[in-house]
Amino acid sequence: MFEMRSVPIFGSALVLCALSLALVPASAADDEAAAPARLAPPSSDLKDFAGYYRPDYLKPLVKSAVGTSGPIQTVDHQMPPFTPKASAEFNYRLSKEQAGMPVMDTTPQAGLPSACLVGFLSPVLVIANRQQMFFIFESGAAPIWRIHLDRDHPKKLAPSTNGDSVGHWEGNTLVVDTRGFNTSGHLDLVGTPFSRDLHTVTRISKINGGHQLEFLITVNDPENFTQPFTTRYTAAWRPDERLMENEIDAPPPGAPPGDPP
Amino acid sequence: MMNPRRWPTTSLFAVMPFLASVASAHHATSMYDRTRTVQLEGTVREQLWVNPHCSVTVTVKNADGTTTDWSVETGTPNINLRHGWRRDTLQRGDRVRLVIYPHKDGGPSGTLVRITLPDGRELDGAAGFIDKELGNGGDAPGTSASPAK
Amino acid sequence: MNSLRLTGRRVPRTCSRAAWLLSSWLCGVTLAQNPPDLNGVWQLSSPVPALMKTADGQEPALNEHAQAIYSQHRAAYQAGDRSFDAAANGCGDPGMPRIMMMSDRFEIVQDADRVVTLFARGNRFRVVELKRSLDPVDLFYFGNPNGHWDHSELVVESSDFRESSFIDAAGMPHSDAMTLTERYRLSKGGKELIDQITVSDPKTFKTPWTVIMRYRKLPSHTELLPADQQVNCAPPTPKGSSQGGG
Repeated sequence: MFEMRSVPIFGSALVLCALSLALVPASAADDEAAAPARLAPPSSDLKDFAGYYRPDYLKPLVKSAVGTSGPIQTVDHQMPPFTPKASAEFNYRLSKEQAGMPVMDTTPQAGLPSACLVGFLSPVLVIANRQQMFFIFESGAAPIWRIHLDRDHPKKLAPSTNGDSVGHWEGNTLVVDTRGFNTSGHLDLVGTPFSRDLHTVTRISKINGGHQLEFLITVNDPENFTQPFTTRYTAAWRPDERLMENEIDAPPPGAPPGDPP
Repeated sequence: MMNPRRWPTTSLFAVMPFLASVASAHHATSMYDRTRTVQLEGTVREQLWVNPHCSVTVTVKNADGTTTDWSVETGTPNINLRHGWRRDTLQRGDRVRLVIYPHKDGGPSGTLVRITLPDGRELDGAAGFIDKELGNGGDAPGTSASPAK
Repeated sequence: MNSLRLTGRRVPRTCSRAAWLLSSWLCGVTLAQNPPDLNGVWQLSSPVPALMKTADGQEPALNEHAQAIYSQHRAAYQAGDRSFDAAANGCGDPGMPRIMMMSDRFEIVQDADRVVTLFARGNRFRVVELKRSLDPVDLFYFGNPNGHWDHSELVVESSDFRESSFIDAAGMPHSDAMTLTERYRLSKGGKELIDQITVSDPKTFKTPWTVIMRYRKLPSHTELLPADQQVNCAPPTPKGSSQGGG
C-alpha cells in the first residue's frame, strides 16, 4: 500500500505514540473526579441510569417492617387486590411480623426489585454494558437484578429467585419483563404472597431532571391477585454513596439466627 | 490505608466467625415500644459488631445499688458505618448515656435511638436514624389501614 | 528522495511525515482514553493448586508465627479436615485474593466510572471505583479497592481486609495489614484475562510476592451461574404459615 523510505519517520512516530501515552492522563476524567462526589450531577442522557441511588421512603399502609416502606401497595396507595387465599396468608404473616415474629424464611431473599426497593437505608448501584443492565442492591441475599438487553426469555426457563428479566427501550423508558420465579424470594419484607406464575412488567425512567429513578411495577399473578395491579417506587440519585460488603456473621451463641440479641 | 491497629480483631469486640454468604436477614423490630423512650447511663460491658445485628451491653446502676445489664440493639454494620459508627467506637469500660425504645416485654433490652459517647459526641442508633429518615420523631406515620380482607 | 509512495502516487515528504506523526499521536490518545473492554464472563484457564505457589514456583515466605498457623491448617487439610475453613462449604466468604483463584465463574461489568466484578460464588460483588478514591471505613473480605487505568492495564489497589479468610485452600493466613496490587490486562486478542496479584503483608510474609492468574473468556450469553445451581447458604429461620409454608 505504501512503502517507507525513511526509518527516522517511523521511529519518530513510535516515540510520539509513546509520549502521547505517557502525557495523556490515563483517566481522562481526572478533572471530573476533583468535584465533590455529592454534587456530581446525573447524566443528561435519559437512557443512562448508571450510578448510585438510594430508594425513597414510601409511607406504608400498615405499620410493619420498621425501617422499610412496608408491604407492597398499589400506585394509588391501596392494598393489593388479594384473592381470599392470599389475603388470609398475608394477614397471617402481617400479624406475626407485627408481633415481632416474622414467619418468612428471609434468607435467601429479596431477589425481586420491589423487595429491595422497600429498603430506604441502603443504596443500589446501576451499571450497564451493551448486553445487560444491573441493579446491584447492598441489602438482600440475591441482590443483583440482571436485565438482559440483547435477548428474549429462554424457551426453557428454570425458576429462580430473581426470575429472568429482559428489557427494551420505549423512548427513554426501560421496559423490563420478568417471569420464571421460584418462591424463595419476596415481593416485600412482610410476606405478600406470590406463586411461580408471577409475571411483572417494570417501567423504569429518569424523572426530576435525572435526580430520581421511577419504577412502575405491574404485578400479575392470578393465583394471588384478582387482577393485575401496579406499584410505584422511586430512588434518589446519590453519587456520594458506595456499596459495601454485606456478609452475614454468625449470631452470638444462644441467639436464633435472624433474631436480635 | 487505615492503621490496622485501629481495627481491634482479637478482643471481645471481635467479629464473630462468618457463617453464611451475602444475605440480609430481615429482623423484626416490632417488639420494641416506640411510643416511649427510656434513658440509661452506664458502663459498656460488651459490644458486638455483628452483621446484621450490632448490639451493646451496658451495665446500669439501679437506684437500690444493684446493677442490671441492658442489651441494646444498635443497628446493622453497613448502615451504622454511614452514620458515623466504626467497629471500635465503643470500648469496654466507656461511660455512656443511651436513649432507647424499650422491649415490649418490659425486660432490660431495647433498640438504640441515640448514644452519648465519653467524649460528648452523639451517635444515632438504628431507631434514631430511621426516625430521622422518616422526618419525624416517632414511629412510621402510615395510616392505620385495615389489613387486607 | 523527497517523497513517499502512497498507493503508487508520490506524496510530498512533508505531508506524509505529518500524517505519520498525527496518526501516531491519535493512536496514543485513543489507547489512553479508551481502555480495554473487560466485560464478559471469565473462568480460570487451569486449576490453581490448593497450596499457594508464587509466580516463580515458590511457597510464599511466611514469618514464624504465620508458618505455625499454616502448618497446623495444612496438616488438617491434608487429613481431610476442613473445619477451619468456612469457605470450604461453599458459603463462607473466601475473600481476596482467594476468590480470584477459584474455579467458579465471575463476570466483569465495566463502564467509564467503575469496574464491577460479579462472582458466581455466593452471589457476591466487588466494586472498583475509577473516578473517586474511597477511604476505608471498615474491614471487608474484599478489602477497600480503588482502581485506575494505566493505559492498557487496570490497576486495583486494596487494603483493610478482614483477616479471617485464607490465601489458599490449605489455610495460609493473612493479616488485616495485607495490601494487594492487581494488574489486569487482556491477551490473546481479548480472549484471555491476566490478573497479576502482588501480596504485601509484613505481619505475615517476610517479603511481598506475586502470583499470576489467567482466565479464559466464556462464550457470549454464558450465564454466571445456572439458576438451579444457586447455593442456598442461608442459616435456617423458623418458618410457618397458615397455609403450611411459602
